[in-house]
Amino acid sequence: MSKSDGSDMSDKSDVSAANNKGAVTAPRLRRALAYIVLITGGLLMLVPFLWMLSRSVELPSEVASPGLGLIPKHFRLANYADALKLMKYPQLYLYNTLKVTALTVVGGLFSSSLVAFAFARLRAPGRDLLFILVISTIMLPAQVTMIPMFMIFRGLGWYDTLLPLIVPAFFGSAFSIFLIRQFFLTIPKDLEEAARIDGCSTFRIYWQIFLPLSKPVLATVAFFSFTAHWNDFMTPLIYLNSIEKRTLALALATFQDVWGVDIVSLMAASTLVLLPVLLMFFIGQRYIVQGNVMSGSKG
Amino acid sequence: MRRITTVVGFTIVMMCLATGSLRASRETIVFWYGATQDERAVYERMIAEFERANPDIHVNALLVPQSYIERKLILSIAGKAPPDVVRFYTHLGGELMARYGLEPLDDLVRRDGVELKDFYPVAIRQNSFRERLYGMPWLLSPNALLYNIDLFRKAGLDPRKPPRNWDELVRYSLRLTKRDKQGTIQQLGFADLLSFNLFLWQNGGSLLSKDMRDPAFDSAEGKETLIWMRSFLDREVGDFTTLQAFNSSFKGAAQDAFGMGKVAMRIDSPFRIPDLRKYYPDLHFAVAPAPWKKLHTAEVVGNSLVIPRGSRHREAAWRFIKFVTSGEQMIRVCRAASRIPARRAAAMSPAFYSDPIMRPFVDEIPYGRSVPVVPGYQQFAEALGRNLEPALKGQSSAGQALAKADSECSAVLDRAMEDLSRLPLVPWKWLGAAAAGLLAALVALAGWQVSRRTSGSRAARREAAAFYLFISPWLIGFVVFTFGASLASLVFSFCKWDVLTPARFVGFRNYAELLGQDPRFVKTLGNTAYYTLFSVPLGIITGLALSMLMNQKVRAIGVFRTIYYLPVVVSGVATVIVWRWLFDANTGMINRLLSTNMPWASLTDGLHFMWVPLIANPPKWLVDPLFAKPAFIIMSLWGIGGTMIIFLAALQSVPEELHEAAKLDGAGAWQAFRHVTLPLLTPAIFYQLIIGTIASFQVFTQAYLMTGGGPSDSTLFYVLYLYFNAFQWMRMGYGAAMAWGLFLIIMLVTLVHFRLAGRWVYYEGS
Repeated sequence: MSKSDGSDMSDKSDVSAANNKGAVTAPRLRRALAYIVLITGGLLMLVPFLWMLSRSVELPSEVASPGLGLIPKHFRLANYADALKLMKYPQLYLYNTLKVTALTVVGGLFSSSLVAFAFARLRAPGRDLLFILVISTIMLPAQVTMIPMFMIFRGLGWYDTLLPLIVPAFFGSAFSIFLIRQFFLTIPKDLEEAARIDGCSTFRIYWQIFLPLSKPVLATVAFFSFTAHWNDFMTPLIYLNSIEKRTLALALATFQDVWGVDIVSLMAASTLVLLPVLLMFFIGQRYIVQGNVMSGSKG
Repeated sequence: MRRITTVVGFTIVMMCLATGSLRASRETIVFWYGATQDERAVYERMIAEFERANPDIHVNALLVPQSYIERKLILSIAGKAPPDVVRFYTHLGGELMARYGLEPLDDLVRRDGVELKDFYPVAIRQNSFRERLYGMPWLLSPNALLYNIDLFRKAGLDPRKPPRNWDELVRYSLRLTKRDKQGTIQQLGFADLLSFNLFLWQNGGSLLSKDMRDPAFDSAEGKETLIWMRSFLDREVGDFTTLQAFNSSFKGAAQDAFGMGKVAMRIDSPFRIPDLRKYYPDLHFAVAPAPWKKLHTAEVVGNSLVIPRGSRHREAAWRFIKFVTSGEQMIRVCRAASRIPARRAAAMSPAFYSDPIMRPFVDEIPYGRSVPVVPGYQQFAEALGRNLEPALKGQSSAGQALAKADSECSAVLDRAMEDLSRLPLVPWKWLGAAAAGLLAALVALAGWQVSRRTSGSRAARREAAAFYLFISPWLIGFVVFTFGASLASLVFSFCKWDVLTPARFVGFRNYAELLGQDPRFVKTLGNTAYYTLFSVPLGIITGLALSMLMNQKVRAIGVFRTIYYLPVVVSGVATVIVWRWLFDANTGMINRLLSTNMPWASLTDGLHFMWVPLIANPPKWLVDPLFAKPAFIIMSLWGIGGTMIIFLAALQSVPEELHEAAKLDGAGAWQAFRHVTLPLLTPAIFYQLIIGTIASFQVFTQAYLMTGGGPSDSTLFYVLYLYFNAFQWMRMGYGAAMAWGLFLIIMLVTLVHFRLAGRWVYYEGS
């Protein structure tokens, strides 16, 4: 890709509509169009959530009332207090969930990126075969390895502890390894060659060049892992037996029965469980778009 | 000062030790139960009372979601870490009794002189297999006819004379069914037209032969029953899908068809009564025996208390069971759960017998029947229901449908009751040793290969060493967890294994059945391929477009990103409820929008405007075999937020100078995208293609929770069918064979993708 030389870059907005005649109005039009699309799509995306929210403040007797159901007839915030009371130990569940998600995100991020770096940048016989093996671990449906896994964890004495939820993440997950590898592969080689000439060790190249350059993908992987562990109730369901060790997602799934089809409390509790993840995403999303990481580095 | 601290410390330590030893002397039993909100307090009180009366036993009670208790229980029994007492749902669990997953209780009953005569015979029957008792009967749910008094009056029917037989039931239903001008049903006379089991029993028929080894429903009674059901359905509703769409619009509790007066008569259980009273205080209804033809019959479903096999506290568990199945505790629990005690004397107590609503239920129990306790019954029931559907839809005759059901059900029973004692057991110790040897050999071979191939240069050898060191976290995890578990499942795929009794080698039988005799293998694979072919490319294209939008520097873009990521975050339970409501055929939001009136210009007789629905007859989505899969594909698009942020992250590695450069070269927006942005995104697209394909080949949860594979198997995806085999029909060996079949298919597709990747995936670093 050749860089056009010596041209004046001051007139960016004009250039961005290159061969358009109405060059000045075009960006504004495009922006308006972008907004329209964003808002329409956003509303569509919001519908399920809005319905949830509106049900969560409704009176139980009104839940089934006709109408689209997006605008509640009542606004009963006490539903949230009721839902918390039904959950019995919400603080404890929150603590357990935070423990599991924090550890799995940090542990998973470290080991997955380490393994991904090796697959992206280090040459060794058998590497490609091993990479296929990594991906192949997610090709076998988990339903048939559930019982053997159960026996392994029980054999390790991990039944009814949080360890089966936490420890596997520390060995890296195929999803994360693959995704991070794809990004590492796009990082220009000259960077690390320069570092190598300066006498950098392989680990330092990974730690001081690749990781800082990959904030967008690391943030993405962190979000995925956080969301997955936050919402996972199957693993806790299988391995936990003590009430005080439960996670929020398991408590939600359990109380689905208690609430029966008491949609109001279920929706209130689901909203409460959802908010921390949403907040985290809202705060963290800017790490995904950390500017043009590569720009300038090539010059 | 220091002395005081020491003394205090010492005392504290001693006290801790003392309480510790006190605790240690108590035996702890683990009790799993599912309960509603109203029941929970009663359980807690019951357990407290038991612990007071039995200070040497501590009860660790755990509330387990009812929909998952079976899976958790099977895993824990197979994994040899079962609980000690479980509240057991007999209609689900014949499978566990018939496969010896539970401890027989006969010796304990005899030893302690528990009088089984005090219990209703139907309750004993549903807890027995081959003359042995596996569960202590506890709560009963006899079904009876609920009918709406006001609707009876309005239709000119005498509410003191509910229908007693089938003819009256049909006559009443037709009078109670109301339609609007377009012919849409506004009020349905009788809702439970599809209960073949009950009708068969009422007509003097039977599901199984006397020796419980063969199906017996393909009989004159069976045929008559099915023909009657078809004509009833025809006259009252019109067709099968309409009935399903009508029924699926109501979700119980605050959306109960009977409570809302949309259904005049229904066969139902006593546990529905509290919700009806709570949400519809003005509802006037009464309870009567279900109308019958030749034989007065009521279906009775029950809850019992069982001790799973392998419990280490059988004696303490039994004491707990005896305590809670006493008449007094039974009455208390039944009142909270709105069920009928399994003890006759307790059922006759005023708490139930003086209540005009509950009394008819109690009176039905002596006529009670329940589904047979035989191995394979769950698959039997599924095969029966599926094969009768064409007859109810008018696509085949009753005789044909019954004959087909009979042959399939009889194969199911034969397979479940097959004598396995001659087949070889799996020598796990030898296999384990062989696997360890294989692993060691592989490691040695790999080590030798690596050192041989890098023998040329020291640098290459050091790089290879660094590579293996760097991937060691994954390698260790693979060896410790994945390798052994996958290998075990591979062994199971060559076995017949019902999870509860030891696995036995059957060679390639599972694979032969999969490829040769199971028409649903191709069907489910087709469903899955359909889903994958649409959802993966659609997801990538929309995700790409969305990420381009999200990469703009416009105001509040963070809020937009969060909104688009939101559906990914909503927990599964809530999602299912929301989507069921959105896609509901009659009341759902999607169909309401599709059928809103739009202004329309017509030119037929001169130009004039009129209001017509956008789509006059919107699809019935989740109850229509043609539209159920598209509904799932649409749903998958709501999860686009995940794909979006992957591409958004990838877009950050597109240097802005490149863009500017392209534009200055005179490239249009499309060309800049096509030649600059897109190539740099290909690694991320490749990832999404591979992972998306793998994930959608394994699509499971939504279908499991929302449709259960229906209608007419149209959303029976491969892994869902696998799950049914492995965990519901107890055919883990077959499930394992299915899993490895899928593994091969996915592997093939992935390898092809990797082979083709060189042509279009662009890595700047390489």
